[in-house]
Amino acid sequence: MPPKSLDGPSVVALAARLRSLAVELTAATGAAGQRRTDADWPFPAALAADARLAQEAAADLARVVDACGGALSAYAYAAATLDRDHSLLEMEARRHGLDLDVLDVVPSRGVRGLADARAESAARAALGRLRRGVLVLAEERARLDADLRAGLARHTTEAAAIADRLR
Amino acid sequence: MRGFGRPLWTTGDVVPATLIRVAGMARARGYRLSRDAAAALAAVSARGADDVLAAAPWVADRGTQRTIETAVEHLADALRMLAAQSDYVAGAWPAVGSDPGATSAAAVPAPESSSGRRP
Repeated sequence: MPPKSLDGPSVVALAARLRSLAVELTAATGAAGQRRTDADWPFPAALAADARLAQEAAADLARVVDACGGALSAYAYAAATLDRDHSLLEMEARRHGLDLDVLDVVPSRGVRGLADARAESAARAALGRLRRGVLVLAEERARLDADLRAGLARHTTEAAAIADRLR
Repeated sequence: MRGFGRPLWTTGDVVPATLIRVAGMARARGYRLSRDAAAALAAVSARGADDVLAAAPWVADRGTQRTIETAVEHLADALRMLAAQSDYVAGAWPAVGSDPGATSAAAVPAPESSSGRRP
C-alpha cells in the first residue's frame, strides 16, 4: 500500500491556525475606530504614514493568511477523500485476492486459497477496473498537490511583497 | 431549536468567522489605527509568526512539502515585519495629554472617510 500523502491533522491544524489568525489580525485593526472620534483623538502627525502602513499591511496580510488557510484546508479534505477512495479500492482488491501496489494491482502474497472458476473470472474482470482506479487516484492526487503548490506559491509571493513594503 | 425568521446572532449560535472577518475588514479600511490597536496588532502578529512556524506540517510529497515550508516562512516573515512596524508605532505614539506637539487626527488627511463613534 502506498504511504498516505499527508499527515492530515497537522495540515488541518495549520489551516485552522491561519484562519483564526486572519480573524485576530482584522479584529486588532478593526477595533481601532470604535474607541475615539477624530475630534478627541490626539493623532501624532509624524506617525500617520507609519500607522497607515501597518494598518494596510495588516488588512492585506489577513487576506493572504486567510487564503493560505483556505487552500490548506481544501487540500486536507480532498486528500482525506482520496485516502478513503484508496482504502475502498484496497478492500475490493483483497476480496479478489489482489493487492494494490504503487500504480498497479498485483496478486496477493502468501498462501492463496483454492478459488473456483467463477471467482477467478471475477478477479480477472476486477483487475482492469482496479488498475484504472489506482491510476485515476494517482492522477487526482498529483493534480491536488499541483493545485496546492500553485495556490501557495501565489500567496507566498503576496506575503513577500507585504514584507518588502514593511522593510 | 431556532425559530423561523430570527437573526442568527439572536439564537446564541457562534457568528460565522466569515461575517466577523468581512465586518472587521470594512472597519479596518474605514478607520485609522489607534495606539492600543497598534499594540494589539504587534502582539497578535508576533504570536502568529511563532504559531505558524510551530504548526508547519509534514507531507509525503517533497515538492508540496517545500512549497508549504516556503509559504510558512514567508508568512512568518511578513508577520514579524508587521509586528515590528506596529510595535514601533505603538512605542512612538505619545501618551494622551503628554505631548503638546500631538495633533488631532482631523488635521491628518484620512485614506477614506472615517465615521468613528464614541464608546
